Order: sequence, then C-alpha cells, then structure tokens
Amino acid sequence: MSDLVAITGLGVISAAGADVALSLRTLQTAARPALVPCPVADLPVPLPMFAVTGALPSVDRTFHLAMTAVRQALDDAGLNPMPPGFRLGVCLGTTVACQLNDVAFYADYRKTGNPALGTAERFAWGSLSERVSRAVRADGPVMTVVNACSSGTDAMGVAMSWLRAGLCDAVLAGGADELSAIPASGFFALSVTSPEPCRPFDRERQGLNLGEGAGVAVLERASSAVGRVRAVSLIAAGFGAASDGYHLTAPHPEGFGLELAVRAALKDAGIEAEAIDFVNAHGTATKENDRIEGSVLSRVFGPGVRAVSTKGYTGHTLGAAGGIEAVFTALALREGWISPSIGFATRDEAIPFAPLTEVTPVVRSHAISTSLAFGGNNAAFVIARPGGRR
Amino acid sequence: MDNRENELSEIRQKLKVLLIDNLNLQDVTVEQIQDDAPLFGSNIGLDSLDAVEIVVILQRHFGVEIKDMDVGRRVFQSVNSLAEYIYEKTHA
Amino acid sequence: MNITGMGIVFAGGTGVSALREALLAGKSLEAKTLEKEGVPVLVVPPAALAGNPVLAPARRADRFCKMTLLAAMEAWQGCGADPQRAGIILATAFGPHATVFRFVNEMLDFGDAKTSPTVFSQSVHAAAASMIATAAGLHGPTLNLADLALPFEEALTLAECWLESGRCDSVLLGAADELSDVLAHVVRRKWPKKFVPGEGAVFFRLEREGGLRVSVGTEVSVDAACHLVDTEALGGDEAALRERAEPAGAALRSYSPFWGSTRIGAAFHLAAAVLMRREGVLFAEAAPLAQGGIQIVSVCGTRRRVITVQA
Repeated sequence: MSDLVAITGLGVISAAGADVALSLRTLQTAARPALVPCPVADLPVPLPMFAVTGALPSVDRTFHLAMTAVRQALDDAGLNPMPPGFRLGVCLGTTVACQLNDVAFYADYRKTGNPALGTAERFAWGSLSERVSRAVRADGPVMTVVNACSSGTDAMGVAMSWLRAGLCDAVLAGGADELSAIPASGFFALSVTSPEPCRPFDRERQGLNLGEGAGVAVLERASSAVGRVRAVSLIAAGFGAASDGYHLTAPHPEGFGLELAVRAALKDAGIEAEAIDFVNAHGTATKENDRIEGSVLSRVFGPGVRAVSTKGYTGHTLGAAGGIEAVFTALALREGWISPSIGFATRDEAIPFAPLTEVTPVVRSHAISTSLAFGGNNAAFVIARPGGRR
Repeated sequence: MDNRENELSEIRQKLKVLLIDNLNLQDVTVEQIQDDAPLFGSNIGLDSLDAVEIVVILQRHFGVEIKDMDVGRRVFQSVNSLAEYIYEKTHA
Repeated sequence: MNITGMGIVFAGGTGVSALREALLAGKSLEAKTLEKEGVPVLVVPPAALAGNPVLAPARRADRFCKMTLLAAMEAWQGCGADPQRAGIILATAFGPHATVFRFVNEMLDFGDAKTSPTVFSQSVHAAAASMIATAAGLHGPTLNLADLALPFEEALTLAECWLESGRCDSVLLGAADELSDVLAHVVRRKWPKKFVPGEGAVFFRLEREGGLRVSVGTEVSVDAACHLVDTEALGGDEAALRERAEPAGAALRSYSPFWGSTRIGAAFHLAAAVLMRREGVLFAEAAPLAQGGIQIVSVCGTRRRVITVQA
C-alpha cells in the first residue's frame, strides 16, 4: 500500500465549466461551450477560441486560473487546512506564465528604452509553481514544467516520482494557461489553427482551437491518505514519457515516441493494454496529430479502441491540457461514464478507429490520458479505479 | 518576353537570398541552389516548418498570399515554380 | 547517482577545460560592457558559438539552444547507454526569452497575423531539449523546467528519482540561462551596480555507477571539505547564505565571479566542485583540498538544498 499513489482531490476550470460539477454537466450533455472570436490577438480570420467566462482578472490570469483549480482540489482532498507537518509539493505546467511575454512591456522597452517595470516585477515574484506553493503555504518540492503541450501530463509523472521517493506526502499536480497573443499568433503562423470549432479525428478537421483553463489533481501517497481517513477511490497507476528525437515542430510520422511512452506507462502501471477501458487522447484536431496518434492508439490498443478527445469541450489549453485531461479521465472513472468526443461526424479512412460519440459506460478499471508536445516529447498517464469492474 | 525573363531572374535571385537567410541554410550559397532542384527533396532538404516559413517570406517580401497549404505544396516545388507563382500573382 | 560526464559554455568559452583553466588561474574574467545598457556583463563570446561541427545540423538553434546543445553534447560524448533509457532534464530561470522578444518584435513590426512560425517554434521552452534529443538520438523522457528559485537543485533531485526508480539508466541533466538586453536592463534598474549578470549552460551526464558520486539533501555537513555558495545569484541574499553555510572549519568559497550572476549558479558550482575533487585542489588558493565531500549550499526563503559531491 505504501508504494501506491492515490488521487485524493480534483479541481478544474475551463470553457467547459468553472468547477468539477459544471464541467461534468457539460461533458454529460455533450454540450459544445460557446466559442469566442480570438480575444487576444489581431487576426484576419476571427479564429474561434475557448475562453473561461466569469470574473477572473485578465492581468496575471494564468496564476488566478491555477489558484481556482488548486483551491477546489485542496478542498476536495480535505487539505484545507493541511494537517501540521504535512509536506505538499507543487508541480504545475504552463507555457504562458513562464515567459516575460507581455507585448505592451516589450513595445514600451523598444520605444522608450525605459519601460514601466510592473510586468517584470510580477515575473520576479516567482514561477507559477513557486507562487502557488507560497499562496497555499506548502512545504515540499516545487517545480514548473515547461514541456509545451505535454506539460500537465508530465507534471503527473514528476508528482509520482516525488511521492514514490518519499520526498513529500502529496503533490498539487497539473497545469494552467490563459489565452495569450503570442501562442495565438504563433499557432496561426504555423497554419495549424482552425477557422471553425475543432473536430478531433474527423475526416474534415482543419486544425486546433486554442483554449484556457487549469486542471489540478492532488496526488498523495496512499498511506498518507489512509492516515487522514480518506477513502482511496482513484489511483495514479502509471506514467511513461519518451522523446521522438525527430523535429522541432512535427511529430514523428509513425508516432515512435508516443508508442514508447504509452507502453512505458502500461508497464509502470503493471498492466497489459487490454486492461485499459478508454483513452483520453491528445486529439488536437490537426491533420498530423490525429492521424499519427490515431495510428499509435489502434496499434497498441487494437482498432476497437475506445478513445475520445475532450478538446472539443475545452480547446487546446497548452500547458493546462494535461492537467485538465487528467482530471476529466479521473472523473470518467469515478462517475462510471465516458463523455462523447464532440466535433466528430465522419470517419477519416487514414485513422483506424472512430472516437466514441455517445455517453458510454466504463467497464474496466483503468484509463489512460495521452499528450504529444511541440518538440517531440510524448507523455502518458494511467489512472485506475480500484475494484472497478462492474 | 525579355522583360518577363529579366523579372523572373531577379525574383529567383531574391528568393535564393531570402531562403538562405530566413531558413538559416548555413553553408549554402546562392550558386548552390539550382533553379529547378526540388526544395523539399534530399538535395536542399527543406521540411514542413520551412514550408510555412516560405508562406511568410512570400507575404512580407513579395506581397503574395498563400491561403491554402495545398496550393503551397504545388508552388513550393522549386525556385522556378515559386518565381513563376510570384510573377503570376503580381501581374494579375 | 554519479557524474560520468560534464559540459559547459560560459563567458570564458566552450568546454570544461576552459573552466578548469580559468579556475586554476584564479583570476575571474573581465566583464564586457554592454553598450546598450552601459552595464558590465559576462557573456559567452560569439566565437564560442560559431563554427562548431556539433551545431552544423541544428540550423534552427538560437543562441540559447546553441549554448545548451554544445554543453549537452560535451557531457554526453562517448556514452554508450541505451538511448531509449536516456532522459534529458533542462532547468532554466528565464529560458529562451531573447527569442520570445524577437517574436514579439515580429508581432509589432508585421502584425499578429504575419509572424514567423520558425521564430515562434524557437521561442518555446521545449525547443532546446528537443534539439538535444535529436542531436544525440535520445528517446527517453524529456523534462524542461523553469523556476526562479533552485531550478537546478530541483532538477538534480528529479534526475536522482529517475535513476533510482529505474525509469532511466542515464540522465543528461543541465541548466542554461541567456542574457539579453532586456534582462540586463531589468537587472540594472532593479539592482543598480550590484550584480554582473552572466549566462551560459552546464550539463552533467548522470548514471548509477562510475565517476564521482553526487547526492541532494537539505543538511549542511560539518565534515565537508568545502562549502560553495552562490553569493551572486540575481536578487540573492548573501547574508542568509553565509549564515547557513558556516559551520566552523569548512572552507567557504564562491566562484560566481567566474561566470557572472545567474539563478543557475549551483550548476556552475557543481562543475567547479567536480573539477576540485578531481584535482584535489581548492581553487583560487592553490591550497590542497581536504578529504571529504564538497557541498553546494543553496537557500531561497525557507527552502534549502545541499548538493554533495564525494570522492
């Protein structure tokens, strides 16, 4: 029991909902959240994006998104307040908050050579994880993962490494990112954005929609959870990551790194592919990602693989994606149903399967979430529901 | 005909310099890029990231838009095909 | 875990031998004056990043990536470990910020819709490690982290987890930070005349056996031969560092003037510690080094990390 890592708390905010309950409602009714025309950059096509509605500040937004999910997760885990002497690590992923990418600041510097230093001061307060750690008075290891699109999933792997090594009792693990001009401009320049709501795995898919949000899970040593008299109903069972070593932006054409990562995660979880009930795929809806990921998933899990992409509900939230998707995967196991993969209508012959398009009961005890990142890192996270077979 | 050929020649020259600079083609000189050599083959060896970068080069330096990467794939075969496309679009 | 390889790029040039010469000579490097900001800085000389065959296939490498790639490949060379079980961890405080600003330049000059996709791809934190994986043919896990406090120390801790748990048989672990005009400007205004900002990349090849043993903990040992402290960390607190590292008898040194003020000073000091342990010499004194471990002590607020190198 002491080696097991439990998931004792969940928190999430995205266009799909400001908390777990609201998100579940969206996922169960297969309701596509309203997209907005890109609110952060000046693009000729009004690129649809998934924005979080509600009263969150636009300044320092990634931190506020993260803290929203963090507070939910800590409350859910019964760690508000924490017991005395409790060691809580913080490992969050991001792509926006790690960069001094305030366009106005740089424009000011360029023009005057003497910019207002507000942005730089805020940046100097600390990295995302450092600030979250201070805000919740945590006393464990701290790390901000900047692995692009797989950051949130990689954060789960770091958390599991820390916990298995006994470095702390629990970890706030996940990711957060706000909609931002720089990735909006950059992904548009790469020609991978879609002018319409995204259609993961669909034959007519045209690319991704950006989104924002945060997904945070409390990963905790099972012995610690039991000691706090918390039921252990979800397990962080395994993690694997591998590098394509291929190209700066394009994934390996046969998904070499993804297959290594998935198989490593299954091995780490001590299971065979058959034990996996469903896959929460990366499924960004770009031509390349879905084709390559699709072929790897059916190679490993068979052409009958039950896979969904939840990016139809959230958009591609970059550093937050792995965190949000870990939370959604955990929720599916906990609630006993898988949400439909919205945006899908027609099977692409180049992809050996079609994703699930209806609410589907979970049958087996394990599920896996996959992420493929810019630069070729691939990560996979296995979650289990003990005693789950119905 | 002469004017067209002169202009095409200038466009080709300008293109080669831009490709070398913007795509960071170290150790490649203008003379080494043949007009009809496949840009995306094993010769010069450009890749998918270079393709979208070429879209930007056309936009910034020639005022020519590529709306669709399928068009791009056809047009980006060689310096010749690029130059012809630019000439065509700027004399429409 | 054990250090079986090392690589470095810093203001004194490329290669561990350049660091060794600088430390043995005992004279810290002369800072250049950054024209734009009128402040002294220790920057990697352009010649150090040019004409190196390691960089030839990496045509998209910006300055941050070049430094990182050179240091990583020096540390990795000659390693026969299984590439699928070789991981990469790269720690930084500010990452490829110079390229982020280059991209923002594009947005300002050409508009949000007409920016360079290549510059965007280079501005992503994951680019450098991606290039290392491609150059060295590695397919294990890759982890990039960006924190202002103790980034290298946390990265080293994670590398230990990966090796001990059997996730990897070798880890290429590094820290890199670049200085840009903008960063120098901010440093000048926040801490006028206090720091000489530096830049560079340091990499270690870590395996379970061979070479010098290294570990990470939180306790400062009175039996250490020497304590190394990064007194020049940007915004760092020298008094707090000295207080924590001062059990009587242990020699206390800081070699920060050799590479400048950064948030990744622990990585540079670890390189110095490895060289000292190999040579048996306490640098900048030409005195013999006592037996015992060398500890690099880092403190930020209430967090303390102690890296220990033993014979």
